[in-house]
Amino acid sequence: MINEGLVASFVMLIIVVAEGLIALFLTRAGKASPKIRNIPGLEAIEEAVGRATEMGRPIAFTTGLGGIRDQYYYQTIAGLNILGYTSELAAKYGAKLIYYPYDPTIMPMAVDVMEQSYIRAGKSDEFNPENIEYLGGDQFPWAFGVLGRTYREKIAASIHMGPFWAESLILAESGFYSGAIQIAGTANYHQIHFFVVAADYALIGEELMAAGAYLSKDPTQIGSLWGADFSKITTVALILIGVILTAAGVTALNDFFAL
Amino acid sequence: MSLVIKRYIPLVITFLMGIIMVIATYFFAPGTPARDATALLTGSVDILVVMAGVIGLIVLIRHHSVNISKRGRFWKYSIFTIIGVILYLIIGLYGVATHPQHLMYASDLFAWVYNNIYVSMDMTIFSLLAFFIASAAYRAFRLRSLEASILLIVGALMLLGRAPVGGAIWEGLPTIATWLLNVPNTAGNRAITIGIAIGAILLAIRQLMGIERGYLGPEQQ
Amino acid sequence: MDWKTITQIDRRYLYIILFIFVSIPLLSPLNLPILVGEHAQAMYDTTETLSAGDIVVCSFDFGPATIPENRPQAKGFLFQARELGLRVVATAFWASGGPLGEDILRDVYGSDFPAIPEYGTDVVYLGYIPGNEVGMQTFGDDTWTAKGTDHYGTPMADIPLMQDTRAAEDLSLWCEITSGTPGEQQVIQFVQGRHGGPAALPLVVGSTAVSVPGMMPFYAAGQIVGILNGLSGAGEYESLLAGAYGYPTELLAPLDAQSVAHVIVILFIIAGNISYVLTRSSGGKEK
Repeated sequence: MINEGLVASFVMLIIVVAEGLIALFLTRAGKASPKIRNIPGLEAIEEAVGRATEMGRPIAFTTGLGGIRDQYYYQTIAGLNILGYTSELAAKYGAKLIYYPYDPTIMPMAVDVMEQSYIRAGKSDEFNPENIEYLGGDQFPWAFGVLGRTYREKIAASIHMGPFWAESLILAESGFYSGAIQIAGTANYHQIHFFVVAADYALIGEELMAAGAYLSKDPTQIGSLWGADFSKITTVALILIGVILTAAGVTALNDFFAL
Repeated sequence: MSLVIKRYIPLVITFLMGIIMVIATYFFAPGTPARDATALLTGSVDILVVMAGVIGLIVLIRHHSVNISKRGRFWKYSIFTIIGVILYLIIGLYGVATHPQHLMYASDLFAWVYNNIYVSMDMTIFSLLAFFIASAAYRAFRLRSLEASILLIVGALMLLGRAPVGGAIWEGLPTIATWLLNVPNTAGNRAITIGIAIGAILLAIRQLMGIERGYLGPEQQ
Repeated sequence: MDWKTITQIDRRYLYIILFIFVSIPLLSPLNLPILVGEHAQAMYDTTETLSAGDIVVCSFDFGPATIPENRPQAKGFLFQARELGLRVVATAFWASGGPLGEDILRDVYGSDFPAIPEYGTDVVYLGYIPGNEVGMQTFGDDTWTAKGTDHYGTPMADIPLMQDTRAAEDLSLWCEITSGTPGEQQVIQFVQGRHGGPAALPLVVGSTAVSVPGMMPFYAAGQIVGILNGLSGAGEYESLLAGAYGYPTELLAPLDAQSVAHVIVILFIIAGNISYVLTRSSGGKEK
């Protein structure tokens, strides 16, 4: 039996997973070819790397304050996917990318991701683990470590993808004043506006999670993004039905989803 | 290392762990042995995290030592980092060593450093945010488009409504700020949260199925 | 003044202007009136409905950076709890909250805390409980397992108040003073959601202002019943407590400084936009 209080959550999980898998398999079988809208923030990464290469200055990359043990790990993983893509571009163009991890548990994954990207670019001998610089796992010391390096290293492109808190604006403003092109994304609702206002390009919420699939251009992965649209339609339909039923005095659906 | 070890075994472990945690969350009641066993599994992550902390410390010291010995860029800053790390480590360990029965004992010296140096620096850095907000507002809040104008007007209303000066100017301003927070903000927040939740579930599915594996090691040997 | 060149002003001048104008009300307060908002009123009212002897949790989940916002919130809640005769189980799920919480308790219960007569019966400090959300969950499921002793090493079995505090079912209110994670969302998910929902365990939150917009869906759903929104929320709460219990006010000057800072930021925005419009109308490009 499903644990008490989690029935509604489990039902929604099954619906979202089923819709995602159906969309994924339909795409894989060639029965559908969903188009994905343009995400300017992700398209701009190549421009940012190109700019840094031309200027001969480094690219700074961070994945926020997430680790592997917290609730925000999915954002960190999404950030690492973008790190892999950016690092591959940097390797191809010969630009220096410095990654500043916050949580030490991310470091082995980051080393692997960056190594993989250099291998893909055919420049495995140029991979330097020293470009992954650990600054300590405490919010503001870390943020000011990145800030200081942004100024001193004259960073040309600043990319921040992952869970961010109060340091988001510190990072975005320091990037602006060092003259860097800035691309930032987070699913932390209360920080999105800082990136929208202060960065050149911002990824809002789920765009961050879609980044890996978007950048891979793999139809199967893009198919699962298409599945998210079905889930959203289902959710909106449930909300509308709930509103109508509640207005009519029927609270069954409301009670089912209540915690 | 063979491709099997480097690539497929991690994928199998990822899949199994993901499925076990989903089953445990929904089907194993709290307090049952099965749930406790999975709690042990998640608890083991703490061991990994502690070890990663040690590795982080070593990497930090190594990085800055190399920088000092090579007289690398800004090597003088590295000296401060190393002194800070080692000094505070010694102070912390001294407290624990003198009170072995109390694993998290903070000696007076440790507390003094924490309260008078760390707390002050942390508060200073956070309060600098006010200056960054001022300069960001100054340069970025522009009447460029309809959307930017709405952002600007709502931002200004919130700024005034959430401080006593708003009520002093006009009593309706705090009410407007509260309404903005309660209604449009809640609506937008829910929409974004639902989108994020669906996106996160599908990201997890892609990873558990091994379709999206950018976070794993090298594909080629 | 040439409005068109104002956008090129060195940002350090902005910082100096802000610094000077924020300092003035701190030295010489303007004493602007404080209007109590819905969220702070709800926090006060919810706490008032409790009866003497009810057990409440006060959790200090913040770090040094947000002391100016979180400290007065926690202090106000503890004061109200003491006045109402509530029994307080204070704790922290942030390591940095441990020493900060103890300091606030000393402020409210006297500098001798924990060497006070009511310690152990009306108030207890468990200190830092590790494990983040797992720690919170354990605290709610089986409090004694989450931590075997209080902050000062006394076993749970020797503390009278802890005899009545075994799980979340024994609590009448959870006050979460937070500036991040773990915070209110983890309490909702791992404690309140697992122990009868908001009806069984109401949650009130004192938070940094920046995080409050993210809490509003939980407030609308009733999972959070009262919120202190940053410094201004603390000020509103303080004025309520001052009216009811003669609580000493200390936030008037900081709130005046906040008011001035907000006005200065708005003036900066206006200046920037005048320059922007003029630059555009003359066909120029903004730097």
